[in-house]
Amino acid sequence: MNATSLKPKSAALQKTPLARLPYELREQLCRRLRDRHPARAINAWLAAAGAGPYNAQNFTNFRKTHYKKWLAEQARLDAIRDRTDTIRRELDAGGYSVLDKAIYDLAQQISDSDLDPARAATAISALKTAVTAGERTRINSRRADLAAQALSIQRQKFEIQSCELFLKWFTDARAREIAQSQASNSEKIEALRKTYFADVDALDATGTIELPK
Amino acid sequence: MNNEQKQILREAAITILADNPARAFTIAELARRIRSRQMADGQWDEPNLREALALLEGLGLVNQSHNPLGYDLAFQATSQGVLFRERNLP
Repeated sequence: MNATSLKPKSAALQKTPLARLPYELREQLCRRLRDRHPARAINAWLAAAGAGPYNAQNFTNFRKTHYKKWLAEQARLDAIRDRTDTIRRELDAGGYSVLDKAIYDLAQQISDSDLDPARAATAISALKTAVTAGERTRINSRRADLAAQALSIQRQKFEIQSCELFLKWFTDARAREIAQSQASNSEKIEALRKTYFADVDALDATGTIELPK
Repeated sequence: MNNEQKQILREAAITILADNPARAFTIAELARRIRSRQMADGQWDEPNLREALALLEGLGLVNQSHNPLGYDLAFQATSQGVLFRERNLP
């Protein structure tokens, strides 16, 4: 059934004059019939709306035709609403919102299609998870590249600083004296440290500043 | 109606409802406004509009509004519906 089947066909209009009522009045009539309003009360309401009165046969014919189709239509509309609600909830669970136009368009396309709404929405959420995981991997890879570049720069900096220090100490008589002495390498290193890093050792000894180890 | 026409009708409905968030519209009132502003082309009628509103209800963009003293059925934009219209529709 589709929405247009609710239009009364011309051949049946003679038998169902109630079907010629305007759309809103027909809808309200159906709701009153659903709630079992008696014909007298319905006629009173229709009279107030400028229509009727209608006899028992008119109501009987209307119930058998238009009202029956209206009930089926209400069930169809409920199904549309429930189906779309399912889609929305599944998309929400996947972190998507129908306030995003792209997601809204997707939701209505799924609703208009024959796809199982829960499965379609779940598949979309799984796709998002996969895309997010892939993006995370790409970001981690980029971070690793940047860390490697930083390490390389640090190494180059250390090498240059070491060479600069060597050239500086080579011109220092005290440093040359230590280097050319007969002491072991470890004793020469300790002697050079005491000579050129005494202030740093003093600062470390105070315990007020934490130096990198 | 094809799917594209349905989508246009849905957007016309949510636009009008969201632009008037304080009031509820019956199907007939909504249809009159859409037609007078020529917001939806092609052949469509009140049952098509009712179906469009059912989908918008499912998406949480509109709500049914019942008159406790009568049997007329009306629809009103939700706060989500108003937000959707502001963000996405011209």
